[in-house]
Amino acid sequence: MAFRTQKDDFRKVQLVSLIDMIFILLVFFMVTVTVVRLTIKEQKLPVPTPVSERGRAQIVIQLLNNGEFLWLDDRATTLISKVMDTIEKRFSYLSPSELNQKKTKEALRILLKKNIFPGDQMEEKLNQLLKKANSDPSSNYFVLLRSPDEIPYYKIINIIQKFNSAKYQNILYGCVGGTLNDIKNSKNVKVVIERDRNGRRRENLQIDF
Amino acid sequence: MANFQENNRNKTKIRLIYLVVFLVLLLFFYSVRIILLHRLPPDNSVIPLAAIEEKISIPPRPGVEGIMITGPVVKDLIFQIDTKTSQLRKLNWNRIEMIDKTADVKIRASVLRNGELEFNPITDVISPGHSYAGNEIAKVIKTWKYVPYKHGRIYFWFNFPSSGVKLTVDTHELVRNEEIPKRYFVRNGLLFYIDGLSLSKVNQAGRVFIGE
Repeated sequence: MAFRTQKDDFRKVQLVSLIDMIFILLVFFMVTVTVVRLTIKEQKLPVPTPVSERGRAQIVIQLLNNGEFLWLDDRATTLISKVMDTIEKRFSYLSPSELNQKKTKEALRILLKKNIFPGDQMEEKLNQLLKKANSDPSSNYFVLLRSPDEIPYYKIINIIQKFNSAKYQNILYGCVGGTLNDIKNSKNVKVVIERDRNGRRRENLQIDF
Repeated sequence: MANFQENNRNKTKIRLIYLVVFLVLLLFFYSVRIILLHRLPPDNSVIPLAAIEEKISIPPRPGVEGIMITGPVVKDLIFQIDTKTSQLRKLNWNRIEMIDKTADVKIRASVLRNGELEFNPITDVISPGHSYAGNEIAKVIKTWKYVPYKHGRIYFWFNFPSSGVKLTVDTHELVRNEEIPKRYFVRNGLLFYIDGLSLSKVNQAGRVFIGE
């Protein structure tokens, strides 16, 4: 049986599959180049990257594992400010570092004693905040919500939903992981005077973990 | 037949040229990609071995290492006449001016820590030739009481004949009370309680010199 042999004249390079492959590679490289260029552009965008700075807020809510919560707001600042003044007068003979330690210790003791509330009061506190926010559209509230990892997620979502229900959407919030022990073992607690955006002097409570 | 072969060769040549063009393009894009990747910081292009850890560290976030709670606005304290005191009397400028148009009265007084004004009507009221006006002014001023934010010397100069400043209050020797926390600024408010005297005729930051 004689097989038909292809004549030399008709032999040619089969480029079809090669061209297909080259096309695919070309598209791949074109796409990846675009992606890489986007990444480079993104680097130049003025997007603030998170840094380990103090969380600035009007209200700090620290959730506790036992269902209670710590609520710190401007009243806490006023209270600590008075405590600091008293300590400064009473222990004026101490060196500045000793006085600072004393102030931190006493401020923490009072903060934790007077601002930890049972869990069932959370609703009431949030409603009060909501009422304040709804009564004045021009006011903005920023709440920092700190929660230990063990707290069920739905509890945090419930609180956030409450913030989102503000009529003028003027309750902003940030969530961060953290326990009460961070606050209990704070290195430094002090009241600092700072100017706000409107140039008004404010008495702020600074807590460094 | 030769023509057919020639045609075929030409077609192959064209295909090869296409292939070369594609390859060049491919190489170009590949090299551009390599260059761009090299420009990136190492973290974004290569996953460092150090990243493979069992424990994930907490990413930096505001609130992890400290918190700052915005507190109330610190209002400035105003050192001024305490209008809540019951004995407070208003000085009637026009009445005294009517009686003695040329009266020139200087008073050296002390603001006590509780805000009360203290002076000796004989030695601290200087009104040569205008004793009636001096006495009248002294009687009224004695009832003035300030809010207890400052203490120290205060001088008043009632200059009735002047066409410009008719009253000068010298507060340079007043100092803030120590009990007031340092975070509060103490500013001067209305330091006199007089009826019939325009504010434009008063200098509350002036100097009054009283000869010893």
